[in-house]
Amino acid sequence: MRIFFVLICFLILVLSIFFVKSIDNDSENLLVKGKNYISFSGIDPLYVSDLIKLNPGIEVVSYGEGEDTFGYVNVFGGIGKNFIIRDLQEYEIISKEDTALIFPNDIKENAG
Amino acid sequence: MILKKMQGKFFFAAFLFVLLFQLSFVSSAHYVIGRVNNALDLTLANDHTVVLWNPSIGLTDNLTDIIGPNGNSGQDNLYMIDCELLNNPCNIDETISLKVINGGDNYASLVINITVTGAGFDLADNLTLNSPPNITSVLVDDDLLIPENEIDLLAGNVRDVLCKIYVDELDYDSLQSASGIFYLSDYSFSDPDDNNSHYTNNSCYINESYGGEGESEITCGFFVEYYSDPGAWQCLVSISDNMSLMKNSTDETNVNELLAIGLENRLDFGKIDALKVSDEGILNVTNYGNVKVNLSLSGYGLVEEDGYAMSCEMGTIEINSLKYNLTDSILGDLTLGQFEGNYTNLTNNSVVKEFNLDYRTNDEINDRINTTYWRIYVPTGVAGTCNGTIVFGAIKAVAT
Repeated sequence: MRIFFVLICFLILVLSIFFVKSIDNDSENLLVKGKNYISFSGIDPLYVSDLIKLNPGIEVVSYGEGEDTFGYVNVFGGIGKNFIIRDLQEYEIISKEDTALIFPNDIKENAG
Repeated sequence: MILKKMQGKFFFAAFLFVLLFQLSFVSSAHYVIGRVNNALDLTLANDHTVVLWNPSIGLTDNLTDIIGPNGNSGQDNLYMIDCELLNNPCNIDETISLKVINGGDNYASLVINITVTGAGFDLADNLTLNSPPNITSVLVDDDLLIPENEIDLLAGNVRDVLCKIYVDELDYDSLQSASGIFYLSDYSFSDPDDNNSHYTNNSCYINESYGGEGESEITCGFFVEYYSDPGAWQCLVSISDNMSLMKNSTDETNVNELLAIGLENRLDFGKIDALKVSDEGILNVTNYGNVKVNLSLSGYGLVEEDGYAMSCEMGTIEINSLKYNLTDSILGDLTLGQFEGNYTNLTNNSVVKEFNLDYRTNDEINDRINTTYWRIYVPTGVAGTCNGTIVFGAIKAVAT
């Protein structure tokens, strides 16, 4: 009975993690209008300014590190810290519209 | 049954914990972005600080950013602040206030408000760096036209010294206050007031109708005492506009030396018999200038250099029959010999005598008064009322 109870707890924990992750990752490269919380995997690092050039529908990209947040805003040609988008870091991306994220590789693949 | 209920609560709590644990890693930001124009005197807005706060909560919960490349925006004249980082994060439809704060260089801005929207970021109205009043000139002088840029004090009295300041307020802000300090260059403007070295006027007259728009003339007056130290003096003026942005400026002038003494009383020996030495009469000499003085002394009966001390209704008294002692009083009746031994002859021509009467340093009372002692010998052949003149002159004493 006790083993069963522990197993059930473990199962619930694992399912919960998958459930929460699915909020972010179900639509990994799709942005909805408004706030999106996204972490990437398997991308080549790129500057946020380049990401915004490829995706002009993005208004803001930001992330937190410790007690600091870093942001880049698509206004006046782009202002803020031009940080590097990396794997496994979670970003908040605010989009003006529903859109699919485009990465440099997508363009290369299309060109190829 | 009870165990089942507890298990259900535990599962729910565990689920909630994991959900919150995951979401806590997700950053959320709402940037307020704006431009700050350079000041009209061309001072750059970059590196000044913008502060953001929610006025309904108060300025204690605030965020700041440095304008320009050294701030969050990385761009000239721009700032960007994430209002979600307030202790009480901003919400849609809330009003947020922004201004450039005075970092000590007396440049700031008015406050603007912005309403937080549901957009990705909010763009605030432009701020403009407000410049402090621009002092175009400061001129300090007394109320005499000649000589220029020199203060000639008035013996035993006050001289009206005026600091005239001309201001061009580029932002057309009205001037809130103007104060002036007139002080000896050897001292500091922050020293306490002292009539020898330091004067303050905290309510200078502001004439905003002077000149064109934004121009003003400010007059700071000082009643400068006769015993103010001679030498270089500064007039420091401080002006603030209605944003409390302050500007200072100085002008230097020279306070000239003033050699002046005064005698409060006349010398009356009373009735004296012939061949007698009078009782001692005293004359108090007061320093009414700003340098240490010695005395020059001479005398005459009716006209200068007539060789007499007094001219009487009948006869005259020789000049050397009137004698003085500048230091000691000799009391009692004196014989002619004692008279000769203790007193110095007055002469026709002026003679300089050491007196070392320093100038006043006490603002409450004038303690720079020295007494001189006089006696006269009346020869035979003299009758009636006698009158004569003693001429006191002030000579600068060498400072010791």
